[in-house]
Amino acid sequence: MKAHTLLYHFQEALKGFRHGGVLSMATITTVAISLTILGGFLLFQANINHWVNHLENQLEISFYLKESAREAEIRRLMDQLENDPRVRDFKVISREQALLDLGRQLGEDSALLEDLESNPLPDSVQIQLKPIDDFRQFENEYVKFQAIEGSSSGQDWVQSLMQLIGLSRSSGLAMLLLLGLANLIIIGNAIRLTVFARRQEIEIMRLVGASNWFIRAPFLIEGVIQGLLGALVATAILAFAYGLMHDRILVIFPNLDLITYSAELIQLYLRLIFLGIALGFLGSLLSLRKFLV
Amino acid sequence: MIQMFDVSKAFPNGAHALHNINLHIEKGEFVFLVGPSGAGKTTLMRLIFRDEIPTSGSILIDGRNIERLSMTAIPFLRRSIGVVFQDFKLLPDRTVAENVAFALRVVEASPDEINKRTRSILDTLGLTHKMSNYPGQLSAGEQQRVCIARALVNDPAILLTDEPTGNLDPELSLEIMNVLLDINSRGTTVMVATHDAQLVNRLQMRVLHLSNGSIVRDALRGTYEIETNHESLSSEAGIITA
Repeated sequence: MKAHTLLYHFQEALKGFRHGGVLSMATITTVAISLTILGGFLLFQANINHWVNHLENQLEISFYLKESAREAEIRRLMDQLENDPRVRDFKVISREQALLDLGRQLGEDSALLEDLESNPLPDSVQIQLKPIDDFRQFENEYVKFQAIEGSSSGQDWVQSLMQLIGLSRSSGLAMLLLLGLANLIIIGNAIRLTVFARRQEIEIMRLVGASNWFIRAPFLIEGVIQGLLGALVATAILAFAYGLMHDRILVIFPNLDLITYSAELIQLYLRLIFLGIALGFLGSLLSLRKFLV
Repeated sequence: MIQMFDVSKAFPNGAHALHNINLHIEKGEFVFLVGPSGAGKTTLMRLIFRDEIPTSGSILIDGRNIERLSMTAIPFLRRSIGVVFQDFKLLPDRTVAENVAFALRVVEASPDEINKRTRSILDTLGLTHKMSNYPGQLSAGEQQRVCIARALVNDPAILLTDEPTGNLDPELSLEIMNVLLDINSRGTTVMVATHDAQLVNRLQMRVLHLSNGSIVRDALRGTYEIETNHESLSSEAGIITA
């Protein structure tokens, strides 16, 4: 395409955009609303993921060692843990240390422990895990060790939570695809109105021998401009609303780990803007189809 | 130049617009296409610039079967054919010069060339003083001439005009006809669809008479023999019942 033709297409796109008036505004508003909903969902999901990552990095399990465990059996367990890629870190807690820790946890009630004749607590290994899919399987592998008496199974809920999160991730993806498709249809329809309003011009271009790409070009540029502007409005709304909600939610739930790291948010907003541009382009491309050749 | 072999066109609603049209038009010919409204004149023209494709039969332009053209080749066919529409099809929000330049934009002519050729054709058609006006500010005859200018600015090999004098007074009609004859004298093949008998009879050019979707007469130096009221009515009725 020649440079002066490209310039002409840009001028035509801007002219079309200005002349579009109410229709252009309606399209931008439609894009803005659609992308605000989609972006809201993305923000929600990003926070869930953030929270899940946080939880996954806190996965812990303790194995209690048999009193009768022999040195060699314990060594074998340590070697295994040392070489297990799923283990981030582990430490052995002696029964004496465990009793001290318990006393510290009990605080004022620690006096109760003074009545004990002997230490009832076993030696244990406390393991911090890397994010893994199957927590239960890890546990089952290790309880087979001769040195291990049992495990702290108080983290059953972690396993359930992991499954729930897996489900939410896959359904989130499906939801995202559905919302994306709905956006494409809605935005495509809005753009179709703009195209329909200028069908006479398209017809004349066609009849004087314009190629399909020549006819499409100004509409595609216009679609991209509308998509970009709509996405910018959506991003502004989301950034404002998220900032507001973020602070209020943290007042109510101070322990909730929301995304505040701005690079992560900026990346999400950039993705949304790119999506707006892509939807504007695709919407124009699709709505032009039946007016060509 | 233009050849049609057993061309028929039926529309999806079942109406038959054209039946078994066979015709051969040489390069540089001037042809009147006559017949009552609904006879199929416009459809025949639309088949030539491939705005419609025939239901059966084949159409050759310059020896090429236009039905088999690829999507990318169709625009090039249309650039070699200038069309003057019955309803002008001018863009109301563009000036006369911009409307004419529109046909040059699509062939990606340079801005200098667009400027030069637009001025030249507007000059030929006596529209230079109107070039900055909008179509709404022009008379019907002027709009017609803008439409002709747009059709000619690309220097097409074929010029198709649909009722170019349809809503003009006799004096203006003759003026437009002289423009078309002048273009024809420079080698452009010209086809004029009309039901203006007076004009056809005065010029004595080749006449193709369409009635009820068929060519009923092809006369080399012909006149427009108006069908009797009876025939005309029956042919109109035939289309309605078809």
